[in-house]
Amino acid sequence: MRTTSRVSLTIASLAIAGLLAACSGPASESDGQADDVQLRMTIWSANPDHVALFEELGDEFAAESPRVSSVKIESFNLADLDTLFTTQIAAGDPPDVSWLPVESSLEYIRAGALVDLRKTIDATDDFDFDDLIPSLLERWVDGDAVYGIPFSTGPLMMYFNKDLYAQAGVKDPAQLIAEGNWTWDAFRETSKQLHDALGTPAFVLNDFDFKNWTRLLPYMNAYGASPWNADATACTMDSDEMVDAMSVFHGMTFDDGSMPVPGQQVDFWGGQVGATSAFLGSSASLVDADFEWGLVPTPAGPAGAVVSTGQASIVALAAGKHTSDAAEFVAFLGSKGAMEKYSGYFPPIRESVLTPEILIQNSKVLTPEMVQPMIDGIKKNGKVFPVAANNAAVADALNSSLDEFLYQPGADVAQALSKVCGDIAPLLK
Amino acid sequence: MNQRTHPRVAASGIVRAPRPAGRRRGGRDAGRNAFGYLLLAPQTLGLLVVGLVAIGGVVQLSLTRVNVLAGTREFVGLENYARIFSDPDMGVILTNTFFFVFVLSVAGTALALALAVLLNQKLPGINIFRSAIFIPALVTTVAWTLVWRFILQPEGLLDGMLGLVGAGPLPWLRGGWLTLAVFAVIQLTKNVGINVMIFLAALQAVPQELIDAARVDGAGPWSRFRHVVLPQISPAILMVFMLMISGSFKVFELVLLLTNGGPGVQTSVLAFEIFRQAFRLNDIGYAAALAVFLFALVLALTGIIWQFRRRLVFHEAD
Repeated sequence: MRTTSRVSLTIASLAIAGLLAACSGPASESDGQADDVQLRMTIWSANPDHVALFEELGDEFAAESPRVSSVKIESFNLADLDTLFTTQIAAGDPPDVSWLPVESSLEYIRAGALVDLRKTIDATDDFDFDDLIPSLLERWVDGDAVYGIPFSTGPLMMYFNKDLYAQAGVKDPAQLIAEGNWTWDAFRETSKQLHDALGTPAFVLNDFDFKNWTRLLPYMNAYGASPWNADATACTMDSDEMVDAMSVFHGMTFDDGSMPVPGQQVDFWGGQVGATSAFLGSSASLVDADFEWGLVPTPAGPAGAVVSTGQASIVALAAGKHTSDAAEFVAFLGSKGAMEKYSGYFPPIRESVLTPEILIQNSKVLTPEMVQPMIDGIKKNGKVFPVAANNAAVADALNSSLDEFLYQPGADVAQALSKVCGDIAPLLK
Repeated sequence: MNQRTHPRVAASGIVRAPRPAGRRRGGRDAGRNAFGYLLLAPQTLGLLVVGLVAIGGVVQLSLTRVNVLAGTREFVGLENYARIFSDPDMGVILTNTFFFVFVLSVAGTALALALAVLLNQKLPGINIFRSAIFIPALVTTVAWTLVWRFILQPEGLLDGMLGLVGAGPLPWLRGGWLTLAVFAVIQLTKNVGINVMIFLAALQAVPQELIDAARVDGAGPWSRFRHVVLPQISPAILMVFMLMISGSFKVFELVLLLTNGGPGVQTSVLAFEIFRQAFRLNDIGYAAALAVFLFALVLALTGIIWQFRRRLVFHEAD
């Protein structure tokens, strides 16, 4: 019996040891020793053209690099960003390089999760750091350190369905701009007219679905509101400016009926909605559109014509196995030559390549006249999304709290926003 | 009783002579046992290696504060467990969780049994109905949930049907007991087919002579079902009930896809909260403590029911 137990124990121990050995994987190579480094980069686009472009750039870098033999590009869904990174970092297998949205910048920088690229950038001869527009880089810079190179800096623009406006006999956004009356108040009025005339939703926030507060920024910025103060230490969701901004949104949704209510599935790109606010990349959805459409900046408000600008950077993860090679690859991707190649898909922050001709080079639907206001917006009155140090928790609490208190018919906007502050303020301290 | 030295009484009542004990038989038994252990080995090793190592890892994580992005881990003792009981959202989350446990286990078992009894008829075309009940179980939960999302959306199919009778629209997915009830219906209709099949198999295994004997004794349909059929299928009922209890703690996809736990945490459950804490808020330590808590809850509840099985299940007391 004892012999049997010992044999069983030995077999079980061997099995566990074998499994642990298998799970631990190969020992990580230290930088400077390996000469066939394989880098892994994650991007949140599944567009075959985007993947192919970055694969091509990866091959180009590998051909130039004395140590990197290949770069593998992997796609994931942006909504899964935190899940992916936490899982892979915890498992000791994070990507070396990745896209990272600006909302996560401060959290990753404070946690020491990103590699400082400064030395690598300085050592890269043709990088031309001064060509980057400084105001659009500030979320990624801390003193002398540079933690990411923004590869895509796109404002939320307004796409509108000319046919629906014409059918309803209502002034479309372009006509309001021509009249010099392009404000949220005027847009709310025409949206209600369109909804009353046709019964369809007049305006929908793209990728919002009442789960993504950043899509409300065109309202907030136009009214000079922000969810928190400049250094992200105090909640300002209950400010007068925010109450005014959210009153317009809430009124359009629940009083006017011109915007979809929570849970309602509507689709601008199929031609059922008057207008939507979305990024430039969404224009690809209009290639086969069977309606006439236009592209304009989002409306202005008491704070003027502010352009809400989303941003994403290419970063090297500190938990990666080949940090110096990864930093070199990021510097390569941020250089003018590489940026020129992908700027047809992603608006750059390099002054020299931020031109209408480059921006539309891969688009089948955009024209220089359409994107010129966007370029003006990026350069002059673009406002990059606000960031908080504890972004994951703050964004989750903000989305959850807005859903509970503000996205309700009959909600008192001021009271609702006060409760929202009660939820997120502890996370900002 | 030592069966080697005493005559054995077979079910048929025939008395069999005892087999002589000997080295050859012992060797045969040992070989048979070894073969049995060999068959059990993959599952047992899998459970030991994967299950226990994972559980040990989760318990260890639950005693730490983890900063995944920075790659740091700090021992905090039972702090994460203390947080569970001071978390202001936990009251709602646990209420919702136990609502599903109660409704899905009791209503789920009762509904499956009722449907199985209805479908246990020798009627032409009955297999069509049996298939119709079973088909949702073959569909992935995500697909099933997305179909329901279209049905339940504002101005959707359900609102349209209510509108025909002058009622509604109702905020199906905007929180409160209505949304929880909707979740329960979606979950029940998704999985009821499997349980119906288990009950159908059990019902068809009930000896016809027992039912006939009860009929001869003057028992009506309800008495036959209550006193003959039900005791015979009680092991199946217990199994389904326990599976439903452990399964109902794992309601997750519905919450994620339909309401994201909101508004606020009005429709959140423990399984979803674990996911939210771990992968949205990067609070792995607290999520691990919640996972251990959930494990303890499932273990305790199924353990209690298992202890009661002798009173509930026919033959268990023998």
